[in-house]
Amino acid sequence: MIRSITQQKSIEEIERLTDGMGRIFIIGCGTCVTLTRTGGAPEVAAMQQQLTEKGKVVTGTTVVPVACDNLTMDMLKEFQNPLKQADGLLIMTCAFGVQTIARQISKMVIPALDTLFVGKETGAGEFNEVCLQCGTCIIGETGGICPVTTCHKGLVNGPCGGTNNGKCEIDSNKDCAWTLIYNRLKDLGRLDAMRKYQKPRNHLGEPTPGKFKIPASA
Amino acid sequence: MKLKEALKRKDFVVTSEIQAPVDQDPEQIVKSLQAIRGRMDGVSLSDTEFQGVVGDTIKACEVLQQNRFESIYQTTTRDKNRIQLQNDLLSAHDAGIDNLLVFTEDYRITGDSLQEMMFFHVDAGKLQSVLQHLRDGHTIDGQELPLRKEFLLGSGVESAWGKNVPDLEMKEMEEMTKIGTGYFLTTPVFDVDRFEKFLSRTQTFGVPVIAEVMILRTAGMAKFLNRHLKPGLVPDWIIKKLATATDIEKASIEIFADIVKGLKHLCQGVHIITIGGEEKLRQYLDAAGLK
Repeated sequence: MIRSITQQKSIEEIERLTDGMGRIFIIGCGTCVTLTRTGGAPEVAAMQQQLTEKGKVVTGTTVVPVACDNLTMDMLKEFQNPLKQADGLLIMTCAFGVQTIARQISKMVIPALDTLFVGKETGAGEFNEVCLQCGTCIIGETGGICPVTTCHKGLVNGPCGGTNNGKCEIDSNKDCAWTLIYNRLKDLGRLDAMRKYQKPRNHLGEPTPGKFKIPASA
Repeated sequence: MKLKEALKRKDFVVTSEIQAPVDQDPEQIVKSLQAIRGRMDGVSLSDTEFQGVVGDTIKACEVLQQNRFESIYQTTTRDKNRIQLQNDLLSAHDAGIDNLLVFTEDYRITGDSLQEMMFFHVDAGKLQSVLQHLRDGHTIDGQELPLRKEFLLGSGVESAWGKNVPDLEMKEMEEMTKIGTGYFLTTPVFDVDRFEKFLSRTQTFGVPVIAEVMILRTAGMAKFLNRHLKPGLVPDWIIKKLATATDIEKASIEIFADIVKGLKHLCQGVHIITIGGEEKLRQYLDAAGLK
C-alpha cells in the first residue's frame, strides 16, 4: 500500500507558526502518520502536552480515520464548539490531510509535519520511495526498478562513476539503483536492455500542477 | 586545436587544471602560468567549485587563448539544464575555445550549496543530446545556428569500477566513443599497476586515454581522499612515504614523478591536478621529465 511519509517539524517552527494563537485544536490521522508515528494518537497527546507547557490552551484533539478523505468533515462535526473556539488548527497529518481540512473549515491551518514523499512500506518500520510520479515511466526497460526515483541523481542512463561495489557513493547503506537494475536484467537474461539509450527526461511529462479529469468518453 | 593535434601525433600530452579565481584578474593566471609556458598541451578551467562561486571561467579561458595557452573549458551537467549547457557551450565556442571537458560531477554532499537544485538532466555521456545538435548546426529546439560548433570533447571515466558490474566501464566508454569523445580522462591514478590492469581489461576503442594525476602534498591530503573520495584510492605506501618524510616536498615530487614515469608507457598523457600551488608545478614537471 502506498503511504504518505512525513516527519514532524521542529517545535521551534511550530511555535513560530502558531505565534499569536492562544487556543489551538489538534488533529491527527489514523492512517499513514499513525504508521510512521508522526501524527497518531500518542503523538497528538504528546503535542497537546508540549503546547500546554508552552502556555497554549488546547481546546480539543482528535485523530480522524483518514484525514485526506472528504468524509473527514463529517468526523469533525462533533467537535464544532472546540473547533470554533480555536484560533488555529494544528494538523498532524500529511499535506493531503491539511489541505482537505483547510478547504472546508474557515480557520488558519498549521501543518505540524513536513510531507517527504509517497512511499511504500518495504519492511517493518521502513518506507521507501519507489515512484516520484515523473509521468514518463521507463521501468519497462529497467527490469521494473525505477532509476529516476532510486538513483540519487535520477540518471536514466546509469550508473555514474560513484557506484561503489553495489552501493551509492553518497550513502554506503543505500543500494546503487543501476547495480540493482544490472543484476535484475542479468537474472532475466536481458542485459541488452542495459545498452539502450534513454533520451533525456521529458519534464513536460509531469504536469505541474497535476490535474486530471476522466474524459467523457471513458 | 593544439591539443587535438598533439593527441593525433601520439605525443605524451600534459594538461593541467587550474581555477578561475573569483577576486582575481584573469591576467593573473597568465602570469602564474608563464613559468611553464610551452610545457603544457592544455590548461583546463572548471566552472564548478565546492563553494558554488567561481570566476568567469569562459572569460578566463579566452584570456588564456589570447595569451597563446591552449585552454580547456570544463563544465558539469549537474548544475545546468540543457538550455544553460547550450548557452555556455556556444559562448565558449564564440570565445575561441574549442576544448571541452564535461563531467556529470558528484551528487553534492559538502560545501555551501547543499540546498541548491541539482539537474542531472543529462549526464556527461548523454551530453550528446546537446552537443550533436551544435555539431549539426542547430540548437536543441531545432533552430539553425550560423555555424557548426566543433569541439574536442574529453570525457571522464572511472578507472576502477565497482566489482558488481563488470562490463560497465566498457558500456560507458562505448557510449562516450559513440558521441565522438576525443579522449578519455580517468579519475586520479596513484597505483600504476592497478591502472595497468584497468586498461588491459577495458578496450578504449582507439580513443586516447589521459590519466589524471593529483599532486599530493601531505599524508593528510591522501587520507582525506581515501576517506571522502574512495576508500583505498591512495595506496598505503604513498601515505607512509609522505607521513615519514623528512623533506615532505621532495617526497611529494618523487611520488608524482614515479607515477608519471610509470604512466608514460601505458597511456597517452597526464592531466595534473595541482589543487592550488601552480607556481611549484615546474619542479614537478622537471622531476617527471615532462618536456
